[in-house]
Amino acid sequence: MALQDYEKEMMYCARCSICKWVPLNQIKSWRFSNICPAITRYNLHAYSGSGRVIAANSLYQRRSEITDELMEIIYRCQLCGACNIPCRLVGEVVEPLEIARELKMKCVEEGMILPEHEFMIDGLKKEDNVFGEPKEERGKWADGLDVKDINKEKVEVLFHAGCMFSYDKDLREIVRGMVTLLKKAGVDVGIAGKEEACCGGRAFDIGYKGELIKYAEDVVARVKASGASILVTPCADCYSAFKQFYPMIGQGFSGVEILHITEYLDRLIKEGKIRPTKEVSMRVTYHDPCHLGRLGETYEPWKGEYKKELGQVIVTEPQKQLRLGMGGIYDPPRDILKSIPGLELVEMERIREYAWCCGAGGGVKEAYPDFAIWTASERIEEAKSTGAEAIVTACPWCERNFRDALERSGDKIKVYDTVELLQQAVQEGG
Amino acid sequence: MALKRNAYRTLERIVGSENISEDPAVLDGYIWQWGAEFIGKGNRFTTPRPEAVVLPGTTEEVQGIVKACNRHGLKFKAHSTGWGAWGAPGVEGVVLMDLRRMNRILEINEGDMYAVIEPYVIWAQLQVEVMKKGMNCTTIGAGSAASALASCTAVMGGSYNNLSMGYNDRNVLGVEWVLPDGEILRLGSLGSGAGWICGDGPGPSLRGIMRGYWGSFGGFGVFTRCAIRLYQWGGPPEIPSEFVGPRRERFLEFPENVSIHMLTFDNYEKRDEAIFKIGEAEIGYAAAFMGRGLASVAAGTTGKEAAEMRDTVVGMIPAISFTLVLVANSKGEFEYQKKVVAKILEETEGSDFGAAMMMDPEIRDGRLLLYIKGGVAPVRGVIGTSGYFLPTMCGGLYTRRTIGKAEPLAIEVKQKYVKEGTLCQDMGEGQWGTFHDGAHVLYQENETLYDPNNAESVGAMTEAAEETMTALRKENITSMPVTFDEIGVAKSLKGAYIHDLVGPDMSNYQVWMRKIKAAFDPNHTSDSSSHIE
Amino acid sequence: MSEKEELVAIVGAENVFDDPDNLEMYSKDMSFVKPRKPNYVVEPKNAEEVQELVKWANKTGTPLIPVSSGPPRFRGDTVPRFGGVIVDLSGMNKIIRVDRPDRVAMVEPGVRWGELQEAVKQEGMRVPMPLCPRNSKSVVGSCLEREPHIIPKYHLDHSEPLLCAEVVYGTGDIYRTGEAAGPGTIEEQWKAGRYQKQQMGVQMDEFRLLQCAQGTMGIVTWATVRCEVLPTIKKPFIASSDRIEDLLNLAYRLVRLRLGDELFILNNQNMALLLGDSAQDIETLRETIPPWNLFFCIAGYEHLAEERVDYQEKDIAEIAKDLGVKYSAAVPGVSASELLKTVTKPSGEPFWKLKYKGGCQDLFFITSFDNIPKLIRTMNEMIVIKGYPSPNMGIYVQPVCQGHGHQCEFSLTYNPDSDVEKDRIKDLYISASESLMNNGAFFSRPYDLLTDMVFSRDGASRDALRKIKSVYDPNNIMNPGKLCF
Repeated sequence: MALQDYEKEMMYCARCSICKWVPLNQIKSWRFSNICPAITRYNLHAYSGSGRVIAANSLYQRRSEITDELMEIIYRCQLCGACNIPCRLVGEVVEPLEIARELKMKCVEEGMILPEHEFMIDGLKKEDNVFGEPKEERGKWADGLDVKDINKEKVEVLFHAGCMFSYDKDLREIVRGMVTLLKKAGVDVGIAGKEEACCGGRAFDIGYKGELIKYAEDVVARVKASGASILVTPCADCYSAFKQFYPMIGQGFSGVEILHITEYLDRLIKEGKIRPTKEVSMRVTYHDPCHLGRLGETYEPWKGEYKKELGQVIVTEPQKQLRLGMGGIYDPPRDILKSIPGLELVEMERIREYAWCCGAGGGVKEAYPDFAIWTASERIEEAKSTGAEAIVTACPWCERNFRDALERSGDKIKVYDTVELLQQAVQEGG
Repeated sequence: MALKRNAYRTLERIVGSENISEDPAVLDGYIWQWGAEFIGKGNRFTTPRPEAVVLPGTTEEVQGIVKACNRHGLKFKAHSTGWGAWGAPGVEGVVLMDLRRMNRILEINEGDMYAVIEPYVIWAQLQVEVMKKGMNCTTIGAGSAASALASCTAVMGGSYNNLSMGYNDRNVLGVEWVLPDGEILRLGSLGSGAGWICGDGPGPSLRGIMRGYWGSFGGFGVFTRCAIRLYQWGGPPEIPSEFVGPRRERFLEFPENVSIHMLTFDNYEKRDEAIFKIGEAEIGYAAAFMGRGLASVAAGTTGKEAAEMRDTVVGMIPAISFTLVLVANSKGEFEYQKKVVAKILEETEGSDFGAAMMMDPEIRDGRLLLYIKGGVAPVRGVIGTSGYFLPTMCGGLYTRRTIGKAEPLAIEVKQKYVKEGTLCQDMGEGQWGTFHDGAHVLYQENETLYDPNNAESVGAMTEAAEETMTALRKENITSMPVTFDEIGVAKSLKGAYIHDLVGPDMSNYQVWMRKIKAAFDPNHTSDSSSHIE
Repeated sequence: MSEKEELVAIVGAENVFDDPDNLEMYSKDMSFVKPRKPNYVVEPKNAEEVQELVKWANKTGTPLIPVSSGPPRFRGDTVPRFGGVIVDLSGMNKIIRVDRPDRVAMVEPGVRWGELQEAVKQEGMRVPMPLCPRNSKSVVGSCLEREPHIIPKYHLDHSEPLLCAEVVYGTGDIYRTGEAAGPGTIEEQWKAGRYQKQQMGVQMDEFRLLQCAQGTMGIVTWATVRCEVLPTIKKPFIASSDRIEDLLNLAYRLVRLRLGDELFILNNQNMALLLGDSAQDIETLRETIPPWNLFFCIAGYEHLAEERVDYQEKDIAEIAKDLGVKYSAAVPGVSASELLKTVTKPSGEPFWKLKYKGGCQDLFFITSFDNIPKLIRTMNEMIVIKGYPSPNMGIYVQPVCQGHGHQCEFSLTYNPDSDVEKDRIKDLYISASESLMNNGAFFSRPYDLLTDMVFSRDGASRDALRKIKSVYDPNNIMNPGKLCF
């Protein structure tokens, strides 16, 4: 990949600025009408999806170079994919998300790397995780759970915890609870423990395509070796890596179904294998993680051509996938919440394909913690506006960032993982 | 040409270091514009770059910037949602003022039905907030991501609901205006400390120098706030729709006392008769022309679908039609309006085409959302299809006897190019237009889809626009110089090109404009290359 | 040549007047502006003569004061502050064109409301008109003064019903506004099917600069006005109350929902003035008529007229019921039909405001909906302070600009033959205006003694207007001393 690969796509940005907004007919208030954290926070057009496409074109046409200022702009982007959705409503040619990522790769190529990201990559290289935490300790979250080790035996379902759930102690009970629920439902589940490595997604999102390729090979091989027919992960970022990034680089899981934990648990509930019967009396709102929602649909790589019909109508040959995020995972987590007795689910204004990002992704949490927290705070305000007592989500990165934001603000609203609440609703032995 | 450091530092002190940039790639984000391709350099970047972009957050900061520009011999240009070549500088030495930080709705006043807004409030935001209070606003045909303030003070644009709410030249009350010399002028009651209620006076109305049909495109000071007129909205306070992708949005609940009709006729005469009867009957919330080729091609979710739709759908839709939307405040009013429509159709031998088609939620809801909210559909239609569009006969206002003359002329020219394939083959019709205030005046433009990255297509577009202008002016049909549009502005980036061309045949209006400009901008600090020079 | 000879050369001897009676007539009006005699009165008959006059005025440095309406005049705008030549346009009184399809009429300045309404009526139209203008009032004059008319839904903008105009600027240049500017001459435009309907300029709305200019920018030689379709059915009503708030609420809903045509609020004194014949009659009537009265008229047009009236009646009934306001075809002392007949034509003689006492000073401004009751209270307090008998004050509230604002007008009737009353009125006029301004009243159309007070509050607008003046009348020969010039 290089900017050159997007030569055509860069030329068709109309600068209509629709990438800055929730799909216009879905706007429900002035307060929550923005969709892109970067442009909303920093205001210069270069921060928007369109601005990034134009900057890329400017670089490509050698009208400019990556300066320190431009570098900051490029990295201040969660690559949440929000700009892609309204852009796609306009036309199918421009690819703001991919071009934004391409800009990060160009920065890395030119050695313009943030120290925080260098630290992440060093950690990855040394310890197979972006936190630089000891690889040895990766499986510790599952101590005492008596779950199968795929390095020792074959399983039907491989549970890939992901780096965040593996190392963040605050979230430990959640990930443990997930495996417990699966086991209770009779699922033949196993984990890779300390042999599990990063999915490579975060590395890709900070411009390191090589790392993605390396870790993708690793994950695919491990899944194959485990014999699993289902790969389930509780991390939305990993989920998106499997469904979007791996196909982008030509990797794939042959004969393996990729599920997010909420998809799987929803299925199990509907099959009657998990029964939430205990009342959890709370008013909650659900936050769609970017990587589970709009970036959770399967990516279909396109190597076609742009042609013309009717004189000047641009068509794609073969038809390019219209990535509106509609194939993402939105209902399973909601269905889980709705299945919990006593729980009242209210929706925020920006939901599903056009949800507001939590702020953590794309290396922003590491390099621009204030921006990440600001983004999360915006989402928390939106959650509060629904009257909800808690914001519930399905991604550990979202949860970590919301918790950090709440710690700073002192707001009373709580943060839960969807599965946490399900756990509360499931009786002992149920 | 880099800004002198003391000038830069002055500006930085005014807006803060986070709100100023001289970075070339950042600046390029403001000059990659619609219309740049007509300048002739084969690029979508206009020239020149601004010296810097600044983002003021308050009127005081705007004033500070303007005064600083005056002091340092710089020019400035106001830029809000900034869509079009006029949003970029036309000359060297311009500080571009991106007004994005000024984005608040300051007040919604129900008693006098207005909202006070800053430049970066977009139509979608304003509409959703005022609908909650049973009111509505116009939303221009360009779509609801455009600046509402800019539309009322400084740019142009017709709306589907011009029928009941008028053109935005008249939809503004008090205005706060930072003049090119940095002084603040508050139009009407605002200047007298009497609030926003009136934009005229004391004495002669200074709205007279603010704009005409077209505004000054950011080149005559900076409008920092305005009160925009709101109107009664008989529909529901919210119109939630299911987001199932372009063209397939569905209302969650179809609103009461609302209907949409596609009225078709055997010929233009009967169509025009119906339009004026409807206007005089004072019914209808929104109405517009929309060429069937354009409508079908524009409705495609993908390019392939667009191309297919032209062939399948277009055969079903009669060529001569317009769409009418009724929104009533009561059942009685609704029934009455429907009966009047039926009667007028009877008198003009027209029909409400495809009542069945309109009952298909997929078509009905998408269309109705377009007429009520604007949304993304306009942008999808005219940009997503071929890359861009230009309206020939843009800016043309017509009356009873002229509408029927202008349209066929424009179509005749367009069909020539459409046949060649250098423009999108939307059947060469493609007119879009709105009816102002009970059809007292009509607006029409002929949306023409071209590829901005294809030299041949750009060339054909230029020729088609100019040929249309020549034909219309020869017949004295239109009151507006119809090349005062994106081509005219972009091609020269100097308003003078057009004004000097057409002005002598229009009471030499350009002479007076220049004098007014000189009186208010003696240092030529406002970059008025899209206004008058 | 002498001055007079030069004027004669332009307009002809029969159209130049300098006899004492004529000069006296134009030297003053019913306002409190200091009288000053003009040097001449001329009556041009066409735009070319007007242009020559303006050129001559520039050459000689002579003030020109355009006048189009006949007496009695009230606002001081036609009293020559520095002498000069009165340009009386009442002899330019052609109705140039009435066009039904385009709903437009083109008139010269001397055309009066009565004759225009008659002419457009022949084509099934009407021109929305201010409340009972005097018989001698010029249509163009009304338009140029931004006088609001009584059909709020048609009051699209404060500029209504003015569309395009031909003007001789103070420089002597002729200009045509809006689509009248071109391309083509007027005749060529007509041939092409254009009737000077579209009023916006390219990037300036020049017509707005002519309005409320009191002739200080130039002299208008014709104007087009927007016409509307004449109803086939009209059903008028009056709602009355002791509290104006109740009526304001009803009026608000009707205007917002575009129900009804003519709509305005009058107090009993104004109603009595309109309908009464003698002073005695007026006093009796105003005792009978309720304190506050909202007049509105439902209409049907060409299509399903009765059904239109029917649904509007039902909808209005529901709204009024919600608000607890009663209305009917008559209230004590007044039938709605009678009132309708009166307000849809110009006043008879004498001018209705003068019937009671012979004199009347109007005080009018624009204000917000919420502020109306407060400003009425302010005015009532002022008249008590100044010892003005409150029953004598007429009050007229008119929703303007389709409900985006209201004009409030106080009519202070008085005996112009009594110096005591005149002094009191003058004092009240100035003090009350100041008090009202302090409370949010916007005097958008400042005349005579109020001008300085108004412009001192808005120096920026004053400076801007002076710049515009320097463009259109650099030698300040057009009605100097008026407004802020």
